[in-house]
Amino acid sequence: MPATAIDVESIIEEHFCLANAAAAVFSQYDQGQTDRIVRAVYEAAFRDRVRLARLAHEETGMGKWQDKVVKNLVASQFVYEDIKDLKTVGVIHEDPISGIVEIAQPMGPILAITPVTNPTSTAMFKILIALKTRNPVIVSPARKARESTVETARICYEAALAADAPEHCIQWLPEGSRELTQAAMAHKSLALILATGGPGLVRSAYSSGTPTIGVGAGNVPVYIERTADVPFAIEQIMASKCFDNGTICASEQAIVAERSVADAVCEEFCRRSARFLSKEEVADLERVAFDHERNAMHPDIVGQPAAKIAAVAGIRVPPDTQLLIAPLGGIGPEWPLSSEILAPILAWYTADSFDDAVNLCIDLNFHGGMGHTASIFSNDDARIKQFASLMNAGRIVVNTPSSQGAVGGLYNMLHPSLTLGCGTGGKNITTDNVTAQHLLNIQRIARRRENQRLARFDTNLFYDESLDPAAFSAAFNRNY
Amino acid sequence: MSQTCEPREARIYRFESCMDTVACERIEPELQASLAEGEASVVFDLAGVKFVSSAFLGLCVRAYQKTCQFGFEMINVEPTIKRVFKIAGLEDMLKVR
Repeated sequence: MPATAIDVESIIEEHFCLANAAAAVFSQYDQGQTDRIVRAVYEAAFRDRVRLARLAHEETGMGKWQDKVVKNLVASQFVYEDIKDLKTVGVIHEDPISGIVEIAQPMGPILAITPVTNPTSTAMFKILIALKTRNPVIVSPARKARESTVETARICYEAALAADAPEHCIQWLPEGSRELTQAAMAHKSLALILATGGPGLVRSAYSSGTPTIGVGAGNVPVYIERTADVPFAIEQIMASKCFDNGTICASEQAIVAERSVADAVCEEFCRRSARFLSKEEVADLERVAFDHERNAMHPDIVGQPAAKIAAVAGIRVPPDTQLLIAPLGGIGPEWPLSSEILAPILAWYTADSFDDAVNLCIDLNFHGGMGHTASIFSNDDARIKQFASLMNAGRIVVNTPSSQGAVGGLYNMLHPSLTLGCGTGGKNITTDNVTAQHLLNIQRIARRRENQRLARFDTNLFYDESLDPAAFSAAFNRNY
Repeated sequence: MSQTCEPREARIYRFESCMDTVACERIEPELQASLAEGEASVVFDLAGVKFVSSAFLGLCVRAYQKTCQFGFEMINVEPTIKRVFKIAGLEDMLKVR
């Protein structure tokens, strides 16, 4: 039964009352105590990674349970390995020369909003980074993934308590309701929102007045440059785009192949059970994949297998079809499949030259994917750098499956994260892979270190309007 | 700046590699006069253009306003320059290709 207005207020009030108490107790913990709790929670999440993956798959009907196991593995094992040695309590840096000492303080209660596409892995990830920084966390599950998200939080909480964590350091909202989430987002005791979800949710979080680390939408272009190792590139792209049936926001959305390698790319895709669609089939697919009223992908096809989507669209494909590829004549609203589609569907373009290819990638990048991720397959270092400098993307992954590459830890040294900052292009404050270090308030002790130039400078010159900047600078830096 | 006409009578204008403020001030009177003369569509060919100043963005907008009824587009735009028009939010209006 949905919560009434009075229920909402009392439920949220109670959660924050308990979270404030947990924050107060947590603030007394030292690094060793904190790290023991984080280790216990990681081990519990890791132990149940398969069961939770199956639960998430059964509940949401999205993706593949085997791939959700990998996501849970990244969110527990890889995240733990990445943060375990990070100093997050007390003095974390001291520089006797500059006289600056940095002290890490927890932020306070964090609201962890989790998406339906990655419910258990995102919950594990956010709980681990919150506990590592001594912040109590309230998990807000997606409506269609409540059971699996809450079960993840419950397992983590029990493990935390067993490791002497403060009571109520992990809580969860009783249902995935908009009213509860909005009331929680606006609560005066909330320190930070970790908002992972669609643009509407992230905008709502920003509007709540509470500091928010959000994410942006992706629309990842993949440039297959003429020096690319084509069989390798297509193997990587297939492994990425078909991973969990394309539910990761960093998954490839469009292929831009240079003409000189386009035939080889097509051949390789077809050899690996991808199916290129005819013009009529593209129109059929658009009707089921894109919701014109919402101006976004249709939720019913998110995370579904390619053969199932094709069947719904009335397109005859072999049952082992892994990926649908739609050759498109342009980019923008008239070409719905040039937008982000979290399913095994790719847009396809060919380009005559490097400049043409990069221009197409710029258009794709700016069509709903600013700040997120771009991908290139190339063995030409100069072109890789040129491509990267022209993309508006927080992550430019090279010769890498972009789903797994952008998340970090598996194919590169990016921080493993289930919250990928998209910078101001995606209306976010950071382009980083968000992790524990983003959940700290850093205090700086600034010891007296006099500016020697200022100490012996004739301060009367401050008021001498006849001095131009060069003369002032010369006087200020004299004998220095 | 140079101008040619194709058989379909589009007026094609080509530009120097560095379209800074000085270059724009130098060519604008002649360009505006030329644009005012005909009624054919206008194409700005940016092949080889490596830098555009805000003066050039303004020049393009004024040229568009003067000639859009006949058709206006920009072709052969290198990625670095395309990105400038994209960031400025002028790419769609000026039909940057």
